[in-house]
Formats: sequence, C-alpha cells, structure tokens
Amino acid sequence: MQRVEDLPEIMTPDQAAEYLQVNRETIYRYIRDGKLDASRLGRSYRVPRRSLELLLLATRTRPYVKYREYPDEQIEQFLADDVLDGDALAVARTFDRATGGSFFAAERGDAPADSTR
Amino acid sequence: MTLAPTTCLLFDASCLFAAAASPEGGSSYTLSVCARGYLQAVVSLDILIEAERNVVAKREADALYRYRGLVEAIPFVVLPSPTEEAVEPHEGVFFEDAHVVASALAGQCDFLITLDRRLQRRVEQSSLTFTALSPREFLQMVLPTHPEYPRIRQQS
Repeated sequence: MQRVEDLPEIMTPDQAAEYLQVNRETIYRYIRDGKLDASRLGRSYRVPRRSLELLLLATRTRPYVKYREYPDEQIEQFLADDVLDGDALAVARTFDRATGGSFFAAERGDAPADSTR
Repeated sequence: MTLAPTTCLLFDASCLFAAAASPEGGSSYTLSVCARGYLQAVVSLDILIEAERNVVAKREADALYRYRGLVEAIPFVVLPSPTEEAVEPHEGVFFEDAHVVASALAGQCDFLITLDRRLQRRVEQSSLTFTALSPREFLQMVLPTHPEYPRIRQQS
C-alpha cells in the first residue's frame, strides 16, 4: 500500500478518485458542486491533495458539528470591526514598539524583525 | 485576571478569516502578539477547517496563502474536535457555534476572540468561564493589563 506522504501533492481526477475510492464522475460532481477545490488547466482538472483531505474532514459523520458559511454582509461587518483604530491602535503601536515587534515596522521605518505578519 | 504567556485566547473562524483577509487588522495584530510568546493562541481542528472553507469560498488565492502562512507561523495549541457529549449541551443557545464554545471550555481558555457580535452577545448572556471579546476590545481593554505593559509604556 502506498504511504500518504508518497502521494502526489497535485492529483488528476483519476488519482483523486482512487485516493477517495469513489468513481471519477463523483470527483467531477464534487468539483461542479463546489465541494472540492480544483484548478482547471486547459481542458483538464488538477486537485490538490489538501483539498481532498479537507473534503474528508469536512464531511465527517458528525452531525453535531456544523460549520458556518459566512454571508458576504457578515464578512463586511467582520472586516469593518477588525480595523485597528483609536485606543486599540495606540495600545498595539506601543506594545509593538516596546517589545521589538515588526507589525508596525514599516511605518516606523524599521527593518522587519520577524515574519508573523 | 493577570495576563501571562499562559493566558489562553481561543480564536474563532471569524478572526482567522479576518487575519487572512486583512493583514493590518486587529485579528492579525492579536495573533502576532501570541506568535511572539506574550499570550497563548488556541484553535480547534474544526475552527481551522471552518476558517479555511470560508477563505476558499470567499477570498482570492492570496488570502488562502496568507491563511496557510498564519497557521504555520503561529504556535497554536490545536485542540481536538470536541465530542458530541461536549457539544450537545450548548446547541440550544449557540447553534452552529456550539463546537466553538465546547472547545473554549475544554481548552480552559480565558478569552474567546471573535468578530461575530451575535456569538459574543450569547457568551455574555451565559455564565461561562471565559470572556468573549473582539480583537479591538481585547487590545483596548485587556492588553494594557499585561504585567509588562506599564514598563513598556514608560519606555516608549
């Protein structure tokens, strides 16, 4: 049996079907229905292995865990509420500068010290 | 409560989504504080899946790259999926967010960081052991109580 780490990162629909042990029409249907992320290169599809793993995780038979699908209006609200301004921005700038963070390094004109941003 | 590097902040999918979509926002900054070891960032496997599905569905590839970069760069404590017994008691009040609440309790988290106002309100109205705040509120009200903040403020 092939080990998971030996499987290709990018698969054809046939390889994806073999991996999930379904037929290739099922793979095409998952792609059409938006359940499986794939890229269309010319006339053929390629499926990242990560998308297949995500599909398996997301379709686990656990009806007690439901995933939210955020509507566009809610996403707009999230992003508006996430804007750093006022007191929060002042605290963040102070904390960042004094602890050697790099989040505001560009506006301070410093060279970035870490890559967490 | 006194903030410490062991103070646990559970980030829900709305914050992870916002951090991927907006690298200059409050979620991203709060995660960067955790990344530098001042606080402990916590997620669950389900929260990671929920966030990634929304990023894939609603954003372009650059946000997905940022999301994956965040997941790799931040030393998250990743909680396992909560059991049915842990989720079920919260379904009546929290609906689809019951798994988030179950994880926050299982992980003994101090804060739930969320941009979802409805979830935050529901947590406020329930007697739970953690506090739900938006990243902006956390930065404004809680980060200045970090034991190092007075010294930091004096220095700056």
